[in-house]
Amino acid sequence: MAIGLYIHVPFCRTRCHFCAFYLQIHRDDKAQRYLASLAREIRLHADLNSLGGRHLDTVYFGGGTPTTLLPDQLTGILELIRECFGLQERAEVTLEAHPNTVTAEGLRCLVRAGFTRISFGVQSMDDDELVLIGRRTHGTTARAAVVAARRAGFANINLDLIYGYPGQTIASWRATLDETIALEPTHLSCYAFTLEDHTRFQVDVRRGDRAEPDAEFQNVMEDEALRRLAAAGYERYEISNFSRPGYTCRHNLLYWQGDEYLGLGPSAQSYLNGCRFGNVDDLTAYHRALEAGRLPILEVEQLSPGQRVREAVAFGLRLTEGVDLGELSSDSMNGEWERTLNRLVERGWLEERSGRIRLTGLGRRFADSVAVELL
Amino acid sequence: MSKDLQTRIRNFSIIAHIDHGKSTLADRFLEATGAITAREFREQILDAMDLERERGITIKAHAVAIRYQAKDGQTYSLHLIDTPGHVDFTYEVSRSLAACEGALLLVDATQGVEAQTIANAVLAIGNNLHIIPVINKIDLPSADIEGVKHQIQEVLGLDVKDALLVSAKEGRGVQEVLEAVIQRIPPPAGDPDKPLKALIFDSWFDNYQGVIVLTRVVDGGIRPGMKIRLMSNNRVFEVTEVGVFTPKRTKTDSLECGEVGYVCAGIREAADTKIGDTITDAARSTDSPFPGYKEVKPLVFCGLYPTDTAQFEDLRDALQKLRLNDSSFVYEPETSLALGFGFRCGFLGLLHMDIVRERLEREYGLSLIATAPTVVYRVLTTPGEVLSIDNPAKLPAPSSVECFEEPFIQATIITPERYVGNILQLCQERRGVQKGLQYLDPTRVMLTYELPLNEVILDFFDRLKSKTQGYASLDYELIGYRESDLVKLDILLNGETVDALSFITHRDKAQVRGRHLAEKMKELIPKPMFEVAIQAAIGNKVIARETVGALRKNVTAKCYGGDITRKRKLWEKQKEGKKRMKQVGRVEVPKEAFLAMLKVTGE
Repeated sequence: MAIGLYIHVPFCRTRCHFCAFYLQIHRDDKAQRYLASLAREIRLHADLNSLGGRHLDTVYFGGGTPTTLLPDQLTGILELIRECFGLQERAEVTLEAHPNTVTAEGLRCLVRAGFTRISFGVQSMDDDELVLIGRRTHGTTARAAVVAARRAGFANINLDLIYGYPGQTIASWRATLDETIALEPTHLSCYAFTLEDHTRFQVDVRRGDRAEPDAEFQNVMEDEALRRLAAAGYERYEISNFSRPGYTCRHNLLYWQGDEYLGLGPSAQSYLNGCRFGNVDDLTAYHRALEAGRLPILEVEQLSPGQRVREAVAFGLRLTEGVDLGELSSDSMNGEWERTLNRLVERGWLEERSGRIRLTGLGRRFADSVAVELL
Repeated sequence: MSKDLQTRIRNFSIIAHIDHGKSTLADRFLEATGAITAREFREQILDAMDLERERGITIKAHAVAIRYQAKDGQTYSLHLIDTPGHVDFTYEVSRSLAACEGALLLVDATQGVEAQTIANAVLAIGNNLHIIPVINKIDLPSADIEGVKHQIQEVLGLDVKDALLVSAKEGRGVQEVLEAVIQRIPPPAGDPDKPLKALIFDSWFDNYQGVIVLTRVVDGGIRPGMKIRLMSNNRVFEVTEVGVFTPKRTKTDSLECGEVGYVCAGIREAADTKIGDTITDAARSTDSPFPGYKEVKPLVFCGLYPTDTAQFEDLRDALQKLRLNDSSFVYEPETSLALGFGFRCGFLGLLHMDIVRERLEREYGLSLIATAPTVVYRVLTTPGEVLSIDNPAKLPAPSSVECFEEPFIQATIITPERYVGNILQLCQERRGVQKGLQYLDPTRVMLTYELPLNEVILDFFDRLKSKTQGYASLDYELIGYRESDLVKLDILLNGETVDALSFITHRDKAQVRGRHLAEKMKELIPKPMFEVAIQAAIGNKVIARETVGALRKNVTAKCYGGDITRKRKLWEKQKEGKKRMKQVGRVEVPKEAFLAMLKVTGE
């Protein structure tokens, strides 16, 4: 079984209007203190042998905006990870980045240190829409960042896009897709816009300053993306993820395939030995725990074998390949569950073929409804 | 017991509006007389059931015996009989009062006389009780003692020159009240040598003892081993135990003439012990029983159905057990096309209905669907039959209805003068006819209205409270049936009538109610996979239509390591939530939707 490490970097230069992640606005002193705590956390887990001596298949720096940290700081963390846990020979090491926060020199430094994959939050190539969603950048900046990353040696590049927010049009979405495809990334994530609590978007919607996202409109945009991406040689391997053959994100696959991962940094979540646990989502509490020599873990939940199986199905179905029925333990496959499966097949949401169940095209639109039924 | 001891008994109750401090005063009595130790002291001891405590009202009557050493050096037995404080339980109040010689009329000095105070004081006066006005909360800066005295005199015609002033919260004036009870309330009359005659004024079911009866001995006495007869049904039981509440249950050798206490006699059903009934000696019967119990008639009916049809038998068992304890509600099996097997249940009022439903869910672990409450209508059919209709689904076809009658009440509402306009408007909306408007003092008004009961049981009380910022109080009594132009309004989901959602309403109201109800249903029904049409119809005529659009998608866009636990918990919760849904045809209807009627009467 593969194992991965996730590092949450809780800083951004500004907060976007759609974002509900735990983060703070970047400041040098805060970053310094965070790096010290993170180093403590890494060493504590190493001392506890949390990974049982296994070397990491994947490392993923997410956030926030990891690239608000300096390249030296990022490579420093990676070095420590290598030293404390060890990396597999062909480990995938991903860095999330904001196009505004990378330089050619910095990118070269990151590649040298061992980062193999970079994921840019592009969201849109339309400058007016970037303003609309509160991202202070431009389409040209994204384009330049991708070119610079490739030139620096990143062969595996992902771009994140968002569609279906109020104010966006089908025409602008097509344009964003086409311009993005033209940059030839190896991987694309296309997220249907979700109105999250505690976001600027939500405040605006409540006040009536913005319309609510429209599900039918999002479906039309999704179809548009499926068509254009398929034509350009991208395979949809998960509900929101597309890649060129051989370039699926190995780290994210861990999540959907029920594999293990350790998450470090405030608010990061982990899954080890059938146990789900999560860190506090507050920097002050995070520091306090680590400065006292304790892990900043807030909640721990040991999953029962039944829960594990049902979870594996609910999340595994997000993958195009679906779930291997043969791998599920027999006691979860009781009559009740069988009947539910059959009902979902009849409804046209699931299909069963050669021992695997997978969502149909329609079923992908109701993946959460399916999960509720199968949990 | 000697005649001498009998002269040192006082039986009394406290008449008060909710929140006027009845329980606090009762607690002070217990403290002042050392009836309970500090450790046992809990706020508002007499309200025993959790539900009562939560709702801040007293449902079951209780009686507490207090030994009090008065200033004259003598020790007296005081029996404080607690009364329910809600209009649903008026009959229980009247029987509790019948067990007393006197009553304290407790009025909040900052609030003045309220509708229930008047209603209960009138009952007490009718029972020839000696009434002592007590004005509470005199410690508060906004206390208006003279104003309240004036109201008591004006509205109830009571002499207020000897009204007592207390602050139950601070314990001020409590001693004086106890002294007044002894000096002003007469001791019980009664003849210890006559055959036993005792009044049942409350009873409840105890798992170990069977039914426990609260009684007032008027003539004779009761002791264990004695054979007693209940005069309403001539059933004979052998007394196993008697005693008083102090407030702990305390066994005594006997209950003597004039005393109030409990009797256990191996009675297995509360329904046997009718409130108002007479207990007598099986061997030597009294020749002057009480006028007899009144069969308490439920005024409000609704259907109760298990959400999970497999719980039908559990519901039947729970209803049976609950009825052992509360014989004032009735139930009988019924079936609904939409909800399956359930029971039609009758209650004294809406509060009573809420309490029973909550107890069923809480104490018996049931998940229930309640249908909209209805009153009992009378229908004269063309063949000349008179039908009582407690379920809209049982209404005969309009062509065979000669005429309808519906129950009316007389409502007494007391309100600060500034809200009169709001109340007149509300009563008019509810088809009320004004019968009186009287100024109690320059700032407070008593309104009398005749109203159809079906306009009152839904949300009248809530609306009254919200239109008067909580200041108005309400009391009502049934005054009989009147002819009325009523129609049955049906709700259809995708063209199918959902019988459990039908209700009867006045023709003039049907249009608006139908529209509001359809709108409310649209809010309550979660987005289905297929479009759902909600229609309101009278007979074949559709008067309102709403559409619930189909669910277009339900999928999490971003689902990574940090989202898994959160999502799983959310989905598990949704799965639980689905259990609270009732599948009606292809539509999932949440439980709350069956009570949507309660939410839409506000025009």
